[in-house]
Amino acid sequence: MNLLAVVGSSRKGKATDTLVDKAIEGALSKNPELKVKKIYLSDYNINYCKNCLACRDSKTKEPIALCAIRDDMDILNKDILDCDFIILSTPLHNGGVTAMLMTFFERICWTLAKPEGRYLTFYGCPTSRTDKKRKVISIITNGSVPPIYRIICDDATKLINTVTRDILNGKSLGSLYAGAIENRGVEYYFKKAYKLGMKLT
Amino acid sequence: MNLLAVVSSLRKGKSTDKLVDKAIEGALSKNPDINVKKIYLSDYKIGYCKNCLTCRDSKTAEPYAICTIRDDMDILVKDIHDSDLLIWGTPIHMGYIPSILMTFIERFVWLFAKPEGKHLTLTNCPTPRSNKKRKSITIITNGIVPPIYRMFCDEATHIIKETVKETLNGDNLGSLYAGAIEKRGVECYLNKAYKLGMKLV
Repeated sequence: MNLLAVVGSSRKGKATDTLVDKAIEGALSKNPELKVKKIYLSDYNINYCKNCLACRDSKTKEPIALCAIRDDMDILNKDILDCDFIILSTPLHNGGVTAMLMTFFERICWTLAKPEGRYLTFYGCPTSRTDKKRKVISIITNGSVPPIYRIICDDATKLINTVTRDILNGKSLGSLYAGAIENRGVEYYFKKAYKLGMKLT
Repeated sequence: MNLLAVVSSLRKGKSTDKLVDKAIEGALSKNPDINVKKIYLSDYKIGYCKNCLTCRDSKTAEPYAICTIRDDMDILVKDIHDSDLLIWGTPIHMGYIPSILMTFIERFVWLFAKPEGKHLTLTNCPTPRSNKKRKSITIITNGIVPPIYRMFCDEATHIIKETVKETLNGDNLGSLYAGAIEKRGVECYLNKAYKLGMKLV
């Protein structure tokens, strides 16, 4: 079983990163055989999606359509295909995910999904290209906004849940909103992150 | 009067670009003396925000704080500062603004805002550093989702509106949602874009 942890923050060793570490610890405590790969998106050269839609319109039977851009996404695509568990983490920027994580999402969107889904009367929605099921948890950090205001300030969880369901063919097992970290310190959320990690396996 | 038009699509000469051109035409028809500058974000090298928060914590009395990253944002920040009228042109990516625009917004939010605003009991919210008023319109394009589903699929307008209000002291005069462009073609929205541009002046 492979666990892929994606850190969408540029600050290594800081709040988001440490909470992801705790979640990984939690997952390993339940299943020590787990193969863990943690990636910092800031270490990879990922270009913006050019919206050429070559991937969306691809009729390939492979689990992943080929992107027209050649860059480090080629490596990350393999990691995503191999993984069974995913931890997605991001600090909140303007109430949403970071631009870095968004760049990553845009690039996997139509490579991993095909436009054959349907909502109400509307066709052409993304649905996963494979039947492989994945389990996903998400960790959101915020420096100033406390959890009580999460409902107003957190659009990131919604986006992550959509990506999980429609693109990664994943089931979201929970998310941790670590708010007001500047006041409370990140230690306050260690236990919650550990427990969330345990849920994953 | 300076008009700044920001095109955050990577496809030059395509829908978003054309509609922005029409809106500029509309604005010029009302006031031919406007100084227009149109920028393609893809032409500039803009690094991701590192979340060091130097800008947020800056106590400067200037209209904008200085970022620690030296790149093409130095040019763009001056353009934003000089602008009186703003046009935002963006496609929708996964219901949100594309990552290239997110990168741009992340980089100027705390330059032009200071953390002295308040919502309910929550302090440290962004509020503009200068009193300069701006006017802004937004053009959103979407290939497949028709306008009737806008409310489910368009978080972009909200993000741009909030940013303009809380960061640039801007008044939002309207937005155009050009949906289902792959079927309808962009031509059916040209007139609306022109009219929206006229509103700006």
